[in-house]
Amino acid sequence: MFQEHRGQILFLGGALAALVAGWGGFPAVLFQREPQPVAFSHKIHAEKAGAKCDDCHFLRADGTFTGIPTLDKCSGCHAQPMGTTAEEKRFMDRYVTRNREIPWQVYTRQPENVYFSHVFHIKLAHLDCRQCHGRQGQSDALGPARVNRISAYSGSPQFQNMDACENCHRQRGAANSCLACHK
Amino acid sequence: MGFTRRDLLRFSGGSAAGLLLTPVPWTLLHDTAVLTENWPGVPRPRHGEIATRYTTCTLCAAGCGVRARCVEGQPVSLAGVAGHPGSRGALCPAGLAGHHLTFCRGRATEPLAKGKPVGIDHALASVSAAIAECGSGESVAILDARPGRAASLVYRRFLAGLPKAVHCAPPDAQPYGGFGIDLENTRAILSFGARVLDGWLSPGRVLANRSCFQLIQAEAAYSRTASLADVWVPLPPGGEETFAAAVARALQGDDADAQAAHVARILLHNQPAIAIGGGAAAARINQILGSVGRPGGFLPRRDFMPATNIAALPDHSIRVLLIEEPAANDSLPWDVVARKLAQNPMVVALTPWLDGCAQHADYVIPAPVYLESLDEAPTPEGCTVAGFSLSPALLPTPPKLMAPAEFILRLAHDPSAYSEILKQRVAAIKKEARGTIFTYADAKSTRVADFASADDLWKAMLGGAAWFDDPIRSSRTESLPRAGWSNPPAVPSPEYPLVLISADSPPPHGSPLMSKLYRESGLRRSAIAAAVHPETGRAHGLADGGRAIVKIPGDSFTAQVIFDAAVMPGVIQSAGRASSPASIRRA
Repeated sequence: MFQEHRGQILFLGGALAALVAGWGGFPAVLFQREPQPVAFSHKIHAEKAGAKCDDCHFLRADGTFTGIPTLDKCSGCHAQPMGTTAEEKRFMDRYVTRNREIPWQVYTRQPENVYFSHVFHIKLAHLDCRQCHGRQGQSDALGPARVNRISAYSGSPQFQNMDACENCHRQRGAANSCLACHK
Repeated sequence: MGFTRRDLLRFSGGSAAGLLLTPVPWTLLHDTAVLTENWPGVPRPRHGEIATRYTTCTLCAAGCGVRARCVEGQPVSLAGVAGHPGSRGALCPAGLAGHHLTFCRGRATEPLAKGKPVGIDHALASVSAAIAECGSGESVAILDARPGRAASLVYRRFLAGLPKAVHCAPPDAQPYGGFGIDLENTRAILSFGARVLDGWLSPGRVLANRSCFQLIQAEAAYSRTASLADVWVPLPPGGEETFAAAVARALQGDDADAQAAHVARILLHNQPAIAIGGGAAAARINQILGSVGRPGGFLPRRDFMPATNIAALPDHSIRVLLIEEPAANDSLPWDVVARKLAQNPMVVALTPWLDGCAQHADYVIPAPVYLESLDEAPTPEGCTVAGFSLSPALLPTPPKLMAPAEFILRLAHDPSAYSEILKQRVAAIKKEARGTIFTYADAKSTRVADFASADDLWKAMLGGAAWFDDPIRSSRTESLPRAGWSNPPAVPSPEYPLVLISADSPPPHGSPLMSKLYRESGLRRSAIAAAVHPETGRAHGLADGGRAIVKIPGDSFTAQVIFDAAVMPGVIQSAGRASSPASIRRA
């Protein structure tokens, strides 16, 4: 039987191997996993410190978005160690004491030709943070960022692609031409 | 049976077919394309803190207020300052792209002597020695691009210590002398070739008032302004004097041709009216119209600092010439400058650019470009009151660069820094306690007298502010300067079969493609260019891009030929030239 269909079986075997490698192995190889420099827990900050999303990630008066807070924001509460864990000590020694900015890994670095405005999406479209960022606000640990080894952009399967933007714009009847995002 | 070559081919064929059903080929294509965005050398804005900073544009004499959006201290976009009394919240295309200048490849980055790098001390010693060797009848001159600044005072102070020295300016640097134009109340403008809608005064101010005045553009070429004017009077090259005289006659009720009579009617029915574009006849029209010293006309202001027109200096009289050239397109045609130089002269270019006059200079002292050093903007061109603003640096000054005023201070062995001179200017404004300070960040005007101290005023101006003097009440009605054209009509003859007329200046360095109005021939850079229609060029044996000698009565100059189908046949266009009959031949 094998000898009789040897050609077809080898062909299908090759195709199957390529499918497995292409769908399973390739994404794992393509994306490099970059761990975050600090073990940060949104959950602890929300539950113990009562912090809300916009305490750290807020819109300035001129509409620009602060994004990831700078060390000044962290130092506001962490001027002295908040606990005795090894991670807290490492954070204090490495960043707060030396006044060094934390080199956070960005999950969704946009290409330079993409114009994205948080204020439009929050104030005009009334999107909830979770719609794009998922349950990051309740997470106990920050996962590693996935950095594309070829393009060097970081991406999340959840929303770092143009299709997701286009679909949402289409559903909501928002501007969907090229120049809406690519200035 | 073993694994044969045929088996391998079948397996590979299956793999290739399977691979097409995976994201591999498509992702590789996409990611490789995206990779090109991150190649080294591709300029990318920084990521980081976004801040708004304020400064004043010094790319031209308009002195527009600038709001800069900066990311991690790097300006990434420039915009006008809303409510600015001079610029009315607008910026021209060059001003909008001013932050690109720092990336221009045509920059001078170190002091040069005859094109070879030298130390700044060597350059200073050589220039000092040349000044000391000046013979009798030879002078030292500084060609000041914009007289009236604190830097101009530095130049004058230096020149005052020399036995024979001249503080001079390009012929068109002070077109209205100590007068400004009350554009807000003007109802008609007769322009003899002035670029009224193409960079004249402050573009924002002109456009804000455009609907309030009739514009009559009288010139030989169908320029950008002519195309947008209410009336275009197509004059023969060099026909400005004749036409102005006809309009003057019509204004006085004498006989004139129909076109001059029509223009005179427009001027009389839309009072107050003015004539601009220089020349004695334009001044005469203003005199007849009573335009000088009344609202809607030319109003005197306080701060006029006269400088000698370089064209009026005796030929072969300058031994050492220091040329300040903030933008290469500001440069005079080199033959005009060369005529003034004595035997064995020394020319020093104080400029950020390697083209323009730097190509002819013995020494090039590289200057910072706009936004790279603390600078100043004097009274905006055509403003009816004196003005002053600082142009704080938004970028660090690159090493080996020196502002022209700093170079002159060092040449004079003056220990002061240019910033101290500027501070003294601000202190003088505070001491006089006249006028108002318009602060860019909050668009508010505050009386100078309300500032507690000169230091407070200095801080306010460093944060982005402009001082505007109080208007003066004066009945001065003296004539306007008569600089500009005063040529007979350019009539072709067998010896001079063509007509030479002035061309539009090329756009400043930066991003000329920001404007759709510039012609391709205007974008090609050359120290001296002569644009001709391709048919005219070929008929005279010229080649596009080649060299040619342009001969005019009593003079000639060499220029790079540019074929431009937009130039009228039979005409040569060259920047900074008066109308004249001319001939052209291959060099």
